[in-house]
Amino acid sequence: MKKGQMEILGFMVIVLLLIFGLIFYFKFSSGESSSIIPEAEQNLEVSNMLNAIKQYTVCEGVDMKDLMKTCISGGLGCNDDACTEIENELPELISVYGWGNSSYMFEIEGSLLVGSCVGNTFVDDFTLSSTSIRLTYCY
Amino acid sequence: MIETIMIIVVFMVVLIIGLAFFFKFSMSSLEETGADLCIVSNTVLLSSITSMPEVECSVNGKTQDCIDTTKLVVFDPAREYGSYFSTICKQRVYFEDVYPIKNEEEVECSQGTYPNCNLYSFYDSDPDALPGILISTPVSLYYPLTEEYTVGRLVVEVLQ
Repeated sequence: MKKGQMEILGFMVIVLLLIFGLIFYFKFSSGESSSIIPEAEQNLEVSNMLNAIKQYTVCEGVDMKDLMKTCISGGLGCNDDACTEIENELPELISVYGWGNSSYMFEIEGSLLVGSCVGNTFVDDFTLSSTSIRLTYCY
Repeated sequence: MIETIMIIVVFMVVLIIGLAFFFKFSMSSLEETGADLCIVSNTVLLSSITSMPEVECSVNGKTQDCIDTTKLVVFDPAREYGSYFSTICKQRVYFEDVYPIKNEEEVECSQGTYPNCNLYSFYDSDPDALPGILISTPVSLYYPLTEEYTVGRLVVEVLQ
């Protein structure tokens, strides 16, 4: 083999290495997916869940927001103590939707009423009669 | 001379194979980006559907964050709602009444079955397509006849 042919062969090897290097670079550099989309979706879910809970009609003329208000001031809800009714109704509502009991917390003025969870969280809250109502979703 | 031509031929063959691999990976990367965009557009769709005047609650002239079920029953999916559904992929959209549980089985809502039903079909761009990824969010469903609110789920099924 002549010297020129050897040089072409060497050049070919370099170009090949470059091509395969580029292929692997593009393959692995695009592998990391963003977590922004699932986070936005989860945030929306927590916010909409709290809104749906708030508006849910527990009994004739009484919605969950009314029950929360009564629970804060102390008093009867539909048939029972308002806080007890929330404690009974809320876990069923949320579990039927598909959230596990250890994946969320529902708090009124910082005191835990329903559920218990640890880990990273998505939180949504609103204020009712100067009292903070908070729903936390853990993942 | 022949040896040089052979080397160039081999070089070209290996170069073509290399480029073919490169474009194959580029294509799969593009497909992944397309799928991501599809999810993003349908996530946006989730939040925009709930504020569509065609289905949004309106109590005493004030709009509320809930879905009016009487509007859902008469909603005509055959009409052109291109501005809402012109996303980059096909989807099926429906509402489920989740709580309180009315029926163990799925009962499609129509003027004959309402309000003893739990599934409100909303939009289906291709009834024959197979379901793919499911995206959902809780919604508050309003029943104006009884003035009751139930907990529902808005589901966007990205079709394959």
